[in-house]
Amino acid sequence: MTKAIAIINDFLMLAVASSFLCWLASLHPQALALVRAIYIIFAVLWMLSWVLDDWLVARLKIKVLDLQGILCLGLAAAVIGLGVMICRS
Amino acid sequence: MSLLKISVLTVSGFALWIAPPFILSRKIPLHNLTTGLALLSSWACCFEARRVAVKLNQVEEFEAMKEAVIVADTVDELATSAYISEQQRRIEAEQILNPREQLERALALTYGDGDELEPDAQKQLAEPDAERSENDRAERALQLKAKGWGKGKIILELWGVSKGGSEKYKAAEAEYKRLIGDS
Repeated sequence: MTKAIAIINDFLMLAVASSFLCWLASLHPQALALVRAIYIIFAVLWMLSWVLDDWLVARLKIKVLDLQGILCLGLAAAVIGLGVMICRS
Repeated sequence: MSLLKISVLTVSGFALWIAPPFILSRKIPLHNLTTGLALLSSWACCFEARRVAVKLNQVEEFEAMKEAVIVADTVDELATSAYISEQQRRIEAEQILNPREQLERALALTYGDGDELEPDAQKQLAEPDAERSENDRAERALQLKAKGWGKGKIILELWGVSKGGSEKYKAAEAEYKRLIGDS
């Protein structure tokens, strides 16, 4: 139960962080460029994680399924956070 | 209590994340600032809720382990007591069913390997029957003499020979004298 709540909060933290970056981007054009760069770096790292999953598993000492779950959840949270701020009034 | 705190923080974090962007306008600076603050607060709520949840999870795991250890100890204790009582019952049953063996064991414990018992037993076995009967006869003769019986009557009683000049009587008389004299 508490473990599930912790995972939900991980998801929410990432989604809120993504929304906050979007809010920052809306303040100034230079901030938008910075946030865009951050999102691009995130996307590159995300894809590299899928490519180098075996190395990451050995390095982080976690299961492959756990890593894949973290990556999927991370992408979903980032996209939802971004979507919330894009869809706002 | 901690679970309630986690739930409240999680719901607050979710509400602070979802509500302001849709309620407040981004064109009004104050609203925009409020949205940013709400997002920061939301992140802080989620962070705190996660921290408490992880801590509570560790406590729950520890409690589960402790309970498992207690159950294992209880099972072990019950199994040990059952084993001990079973052994005691078996020993008691052996004692009841086989007293001879117990006696032999007790004798073996008393006399060790039986080395000390053998000389007595051998001595007893080596003692001739004739000597035993002779001793008995001498003892009986002394008893009868003490009662006031005469020689002839004692010889008749013990040797079954009546008084006279026969060889048997003479031999019995000689033995009587020897026994009485010896004693």
